[in-house]
Amino acid sequence: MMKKLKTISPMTKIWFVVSLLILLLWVIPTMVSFYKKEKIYKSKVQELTVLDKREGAHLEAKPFHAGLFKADAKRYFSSVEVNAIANNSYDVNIVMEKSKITTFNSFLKKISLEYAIGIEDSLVFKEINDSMSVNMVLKPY
Amino acid sequence: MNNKQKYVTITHYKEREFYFLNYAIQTSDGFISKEIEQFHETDREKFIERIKTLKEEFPNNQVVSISLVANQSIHQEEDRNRASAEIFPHNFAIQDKIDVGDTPTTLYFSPFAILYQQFKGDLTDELKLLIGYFDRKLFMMFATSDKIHQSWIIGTRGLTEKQIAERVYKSMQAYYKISYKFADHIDMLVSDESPKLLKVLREELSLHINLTQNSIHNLLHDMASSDEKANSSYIKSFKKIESIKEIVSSKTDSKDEFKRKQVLDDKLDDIASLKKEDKSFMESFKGMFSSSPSEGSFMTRSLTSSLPLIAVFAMGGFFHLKNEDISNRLSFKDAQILSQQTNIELAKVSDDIFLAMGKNAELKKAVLSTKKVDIKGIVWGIEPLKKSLKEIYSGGEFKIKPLENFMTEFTFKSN
Repeated sequence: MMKKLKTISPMTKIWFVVSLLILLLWVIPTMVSFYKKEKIYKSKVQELTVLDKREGAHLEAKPFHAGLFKADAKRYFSSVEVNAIANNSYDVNIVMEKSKITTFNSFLKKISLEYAIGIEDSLVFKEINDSMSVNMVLKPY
Repeated sequence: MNNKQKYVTITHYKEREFYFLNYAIQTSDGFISKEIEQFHETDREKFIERIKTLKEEFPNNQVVSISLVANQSIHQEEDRNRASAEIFPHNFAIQDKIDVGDTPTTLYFSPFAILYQQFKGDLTDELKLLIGYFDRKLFMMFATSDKIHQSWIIGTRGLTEKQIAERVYKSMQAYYKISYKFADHIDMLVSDESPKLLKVLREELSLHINLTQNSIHNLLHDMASSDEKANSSYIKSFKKIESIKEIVSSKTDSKDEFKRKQVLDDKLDDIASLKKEDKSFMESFKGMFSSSPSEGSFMTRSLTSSLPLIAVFAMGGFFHLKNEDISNRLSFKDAQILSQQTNIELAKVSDDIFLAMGKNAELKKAVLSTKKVDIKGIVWGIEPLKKSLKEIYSGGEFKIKPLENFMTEFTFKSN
């Protein structure tokens, strides 16, 4: 065995040592990091499943698209306006009948599940001609 | 001391169309060389006659010659089917046959044996390139103190000094490719004065080259000066003159049989072009590899030795990409969870506020966030509204203001 080792060329030995170092210093830490993150990811998916109260919907959020969002919201509310503003954000104005507040609250709960977007922490309600208008700023995450 | 008692070494070799003959009287202080005699190949009989005369004159003699053929090389094992000379415990100079013909010869040396004898004292663990320049051929071998690693011969006929230097360098590069060792030192033995070659070699190789110059006759006299040195002769029977012919004959017979099986070209003298020499050079490498099947070809070895590195990089690259991907997905999921939590909280705040107002009030304007609320509206049941709002936001500020139309406006701000 030792005799065989001695016959291996020095360059082969150097490459072997370099390979071993790369394996120990880069590959194995990367592997460990990957498996750790994968485990965390699975727990996050589980966490999100708990937060998702939708029925029959899947978890993957679509990239935000103003037109798509508007069409989706219009199925529930009288008027929906989406305007792009600074900081890659969107100013959204929804007008609804006052009786639709519960629907709006349910809609709020699924925005971030359906689209890759979050509400900047503020809702502004205003009564306009017996209807309720809500303003909010959405920002993709 | 009379001639019968004197030990005399008679040396001869053929270079181009001339035979060169010399003899020296060996003494305890070295040898005393006589004048060199030269014979044209057309005077071969005279040349042989002269050797015979010297042998008769000095009965205690050795007739010594050098093999200048190009098809000799160094091997790790003895080849009993070919002419072998042990020049080191595990190194043998081997050539197809001893081709001295009818020229009397009792000791017959390979230039490799002479080269090794000349420089063996200088060898260390560091790889050295030993070069012997005889008859316009470079006899090269890579050696350390424990063994000779590789040898080959380069013909230099028709080449400039620069081209010779380039070929020496090429040989060093080629040896490096198969062994990953580079010879930093060169010891060179030349049989005639070649100052220009040495100068060019030094310039082109940028290496220190130790030069030793000696004539072939003197080198042969030295090789025949003791049993120890003479043992590295192709002809084994040192001082048994009568049996030499048999040995030579036996080797020649076995060689003839061998020759029928071989297709090797044994005339490096006739190398005319660089391409041809390169080919034979590469063939010698192939031969070296084929002597040990486990070593494989250079490409195979390179590939094999780099396989672990390739595998490690492939595995590292794969996990690096996977890691980046999972990192991105994880950040995305974190942001989604955070947004979802905010949305749920906001929906709850909105729900709570509208539930608190119920039928006691009507909202005109509200700014709701997870941290605070600011509400304004018309109230009909002041106390129930105040109570409900205070239940949600205990420290909140509830205010009422009578309006002109007999209605009451309320405002509520959480802390």
